[in-house]
Amino acid sequence: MSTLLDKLIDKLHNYFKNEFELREVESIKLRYAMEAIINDLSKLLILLAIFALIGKPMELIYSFFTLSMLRPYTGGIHFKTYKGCLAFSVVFFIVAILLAYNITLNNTIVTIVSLLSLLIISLLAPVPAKTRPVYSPRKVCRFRLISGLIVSCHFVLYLLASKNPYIINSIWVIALQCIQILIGKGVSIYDGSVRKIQKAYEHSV
Amino acid sequence: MMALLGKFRKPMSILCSFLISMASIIVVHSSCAFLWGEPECPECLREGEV
Repeated sequence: MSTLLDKLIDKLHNYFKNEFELREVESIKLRYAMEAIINDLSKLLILLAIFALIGKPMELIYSFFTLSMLRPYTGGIHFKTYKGCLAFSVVFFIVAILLAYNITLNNTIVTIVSLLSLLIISLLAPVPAKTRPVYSPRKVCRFRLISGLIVSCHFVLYLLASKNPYIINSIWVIALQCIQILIGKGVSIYDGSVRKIQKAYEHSV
Repeated sequence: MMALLGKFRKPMSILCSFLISMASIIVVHSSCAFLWGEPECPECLREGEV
């Protein structure tokens, strides 16, 4: 699948590059945007097909909607391969939907989940991919503020309509996304310390 | 496919500009793509602090 998509991206990229005589920088930017958008769109279509087969397409749409609001501002775990990302996406949404079906939410659980999520977001978010640029403290603050607002809005929405299926799904998506931020931050701290030890070793040798 | 694309030069030029601007938006205004994998960020987009 990823090879097919790569071929499609290559063809489109070549078409745009030759047809509009793009400069090198524009061509690189275009390819990056095409890879990001086409890969995510294809994964979303596969996810929709899988969840339609198991009879839960609406639950996927609810969960994806919440995630698509939160994830651009909080980041999280990243996978290097297309298959790894797709497999994790399927597991993530299945776990979120199973939790929504099997654990009945009440005010106490939602308050605890929301407060913990706000705490994790305000201390650890965002967790960007290693290849991304360093974000300025101002931007980090902005990302935290927006994601905090999204979590707070969902908490208020739960208080207003606690039986709404979208809200029930989204509370679990928020909880799982925050667990991921914890794991992602742990991984990035571990990677950072390994790199420091390697550098110190190289200097000593 | 290329012949078909050639018939829609104007909309394709708009799409091309949109995609080029999207690259900066994805990197500068968000910390992550939607799902759990994203392409390697090109050097020209991660120069310095954003």
